[in-house]
Amino acid sequence: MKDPARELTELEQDALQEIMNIGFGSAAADLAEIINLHVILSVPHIAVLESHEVINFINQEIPDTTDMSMITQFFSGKLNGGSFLVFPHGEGRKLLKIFDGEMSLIGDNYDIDLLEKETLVEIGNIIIGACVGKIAEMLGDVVTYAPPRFFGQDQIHETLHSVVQSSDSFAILFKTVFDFEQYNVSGYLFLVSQYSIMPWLKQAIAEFLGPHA
Amino acid sequence: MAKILIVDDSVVARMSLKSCLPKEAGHEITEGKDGAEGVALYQSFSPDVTFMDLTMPGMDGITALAEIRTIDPTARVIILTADIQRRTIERVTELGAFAVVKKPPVKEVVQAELDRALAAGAAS
Repeated sequence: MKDPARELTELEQDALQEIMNIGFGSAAADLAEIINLHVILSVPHIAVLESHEVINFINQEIPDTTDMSMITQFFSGKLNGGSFLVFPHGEGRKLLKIFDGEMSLIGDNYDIDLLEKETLVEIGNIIIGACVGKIAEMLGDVVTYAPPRFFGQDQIHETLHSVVQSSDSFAILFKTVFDFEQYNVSGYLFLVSQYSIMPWLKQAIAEFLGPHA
Repeated sequence: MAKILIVDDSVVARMSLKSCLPKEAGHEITEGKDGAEGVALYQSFSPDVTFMDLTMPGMDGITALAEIRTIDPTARVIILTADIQRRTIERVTELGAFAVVKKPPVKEVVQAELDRALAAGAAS
């Protein structure tokens, strides 16, 4: 039998989805302003899952992580967890055009792999910071961030496993898809939060809903 | 009293918008959950003003806005969205959106845009 304290009600899920929608919108607006990158937003997905199901979910969404690049960034506050921004491997190269001007200053001897990695880390940092920051703000929290880290291809599965296995047995999973329109590049953003935040989260959602009820 | 159509896939977003509308005005409100439903309701309900979200499953708000403006070039559609990128605002403005309001909605902003849209309707 399901334990209601372990579940989000339909209204709570809807509220969280709307909060995430606003968070992603805020991230997209920041990207557009900072690096002139227009993003087509998708409807976010939220689920409370057991740890092993989180990995299964991500595997279903992205069957072959060996062909992906991932940026992770951890955040802590009352809302705490990890964010994982996953792009198809090599797609970051298309995004290098964003920094064309800066690249021309580097000259011909630049390391293209390193630049791709740095581009993805920079974009990941903006997206994750804006998304998580806005979600936390709307839930009445402030979070701090660990530095973003880049993982390539075969490191991804191992990294996801180590993060999810080290958390408690349930996790709250948030997922959305970013589509960078003019570069024809799509990325997935997953936020995985530890189940222990559930009492605070339910309270924060109730406070968010309060004025509108 | 005006007829207002709200189109948003989120029940919380619809609740939050309704809480910004003046209750004493006694507006008649109808709600749709996606773009296709919004277009159908536009035709059957004939609202004075429509509030439309953009990011929705199925038919999105941009497509619904375009369809509504094709059906009725005088339709006053206020876009209520989290997607406040300049290119998005330009796109919906080109399609004839009356105004773009950023989510989460703020009562004063919603009421001001609603008043402006109703006044524009009365003047036409």
